[in-house]
Amino acid sequence: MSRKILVQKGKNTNKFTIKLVLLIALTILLFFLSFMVGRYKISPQTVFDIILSHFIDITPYWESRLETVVLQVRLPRILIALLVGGSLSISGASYQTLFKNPMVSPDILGVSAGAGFGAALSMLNDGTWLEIQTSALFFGLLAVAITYIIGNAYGKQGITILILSGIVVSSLFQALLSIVKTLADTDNQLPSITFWLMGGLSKSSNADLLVLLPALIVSLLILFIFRNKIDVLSAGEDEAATMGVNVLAVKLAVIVSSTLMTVVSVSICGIIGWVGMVIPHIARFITGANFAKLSSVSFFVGGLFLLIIDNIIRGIEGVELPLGVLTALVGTPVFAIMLFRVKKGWN
Amino acid sequence: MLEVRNIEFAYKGKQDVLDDISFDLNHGECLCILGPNGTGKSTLARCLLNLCKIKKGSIMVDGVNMNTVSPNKRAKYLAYVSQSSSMTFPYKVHEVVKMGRTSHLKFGASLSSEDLNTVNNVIEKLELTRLADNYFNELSGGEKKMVLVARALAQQAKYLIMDEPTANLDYSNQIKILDMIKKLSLENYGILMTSHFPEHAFWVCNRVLLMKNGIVGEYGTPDEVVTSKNLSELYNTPVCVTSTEVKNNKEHQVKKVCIPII
Repeated sequence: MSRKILVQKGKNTNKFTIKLVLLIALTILLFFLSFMVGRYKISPQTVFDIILSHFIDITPYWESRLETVVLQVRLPRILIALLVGGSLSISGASYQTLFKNPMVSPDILGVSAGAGFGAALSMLNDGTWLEIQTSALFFGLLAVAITYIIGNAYGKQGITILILSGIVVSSLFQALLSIVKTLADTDNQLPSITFWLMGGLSKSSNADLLVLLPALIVSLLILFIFRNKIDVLSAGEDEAATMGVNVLAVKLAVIVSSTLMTVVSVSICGIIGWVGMVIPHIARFITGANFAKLSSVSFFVGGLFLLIIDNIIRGIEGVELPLGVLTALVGTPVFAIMLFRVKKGWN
Repeated sequence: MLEVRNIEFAYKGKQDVLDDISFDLNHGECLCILGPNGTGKSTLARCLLNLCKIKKGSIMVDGVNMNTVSPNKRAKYLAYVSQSSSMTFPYKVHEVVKMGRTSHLKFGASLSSEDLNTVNNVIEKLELTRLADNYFNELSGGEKKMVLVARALAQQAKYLIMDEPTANLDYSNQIKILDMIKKLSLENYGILMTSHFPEHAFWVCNRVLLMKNGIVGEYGTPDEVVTSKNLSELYNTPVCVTSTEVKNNKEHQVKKVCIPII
């Protein structure tokens, strides 16, 4: 009988591997196809050759401006869409599992509100793009730190108190943001602030990747180390403690890694709602609740989703629609369809 | 041996909930803690697991002080079966049981084949094989309780702390759980259970501890302690403890039952 269960487990693992390989293949395919979207029409072959020419000897048959478009404009934008979508989704999955709450999103501890205020404050002072990002990063981290301090001041590190503190701190930074908006000049600063708050990848650069990648790698490493214990925490803090989990250490690990991924993502491309809350649920439909599997699937589904949305934005000529708006417009029907089709395990 | 000596506990700024509680629990023994609602039974169970920090006293298991060891080490001595458990997300039964192996995992490692064998053995032992791939949230109350016991057994601790293991279960599931508790104590597990059903003490326990208002009233074997007089005083209502002859599989047995007098 025990062999029978082991066989079942093997089947589950194989199923998961097939799903993951499919997602990776889809990501690679979409990565190359995405270079074709935009004002300059470039064939996948040319894109492939331009990228390959940096590794092997290929005589350029393309115009030099195409190389700039591919390597300086589209490559960073595509990579950032994939990585930010993945980061926000994993952060959401981690927080939802930690807080035992399906309605939690990566900004539950106030990171987006803090970053939004930081960016707006910098725009009010006519800051450069780098200054805006740095300010968003700083205030995003500050908001989470305040949330954590208030949450712990209560005594026992209760999860409900932490979420409540996050809501309170978010409100505080949203109020501060409103003050900044009131003070901003209505011709230039206010539209810039409003547009930034709705999210966008139009200003993505290779330099952003240098910030995003290390933050992502460190965060993923931390989450990978604690993956089993994060699952156990979803049974409740007390039960997790009786199963040998150092609850405080795991909570800190999840909060630090998720905050790091979210704050860097938000500082690069503004506030992108929806992805961090809903993609983990779509990933659960695909692979179940096990955190190791959930986070892998969330990463690829989130990345794919944001890249598709950004491709739609780049495909519409004449106007750059905000990313945060389109994620909800496209994502909501997708989620509703999945919810109706997959009805299991949620009773 | 689990040695509890003179423990005291109070919630912050409030009166003592537990006052000078002492008892022993050996391997292979089953101790039932009886008492009215709000008397501190669950709090006592939580203190043993260090979920509530005691003010005074000591909790030792086989000579190791449970108040000073890490959660990981404590989990190797004491496992917990909570009154109820719910998983917010759709975990499968085998995934819930695997959680019991957490204290055996090396830093950052996955479950080894030895861990998986233990999980499989426990699932098989508790006859959960057919449910292994089902969602935990979709099980009945009795099945969920069995899975929680399986998770505790996967932990391979020597002592099990069970908080009202038969709460909210029908007769059939109560009997299943009690049978299993009896089997586990015969397998040399030390079991501490809290209960609202005094007759359960006769059926599966070697020792009984009566608690009222956070203090130990009586402590001894079920026959010594679970009497009409003691129960009437304990619950502040007349309770009759009597014997009745029952026929089970052509075999006549004498069972003790406790009946509150209305």
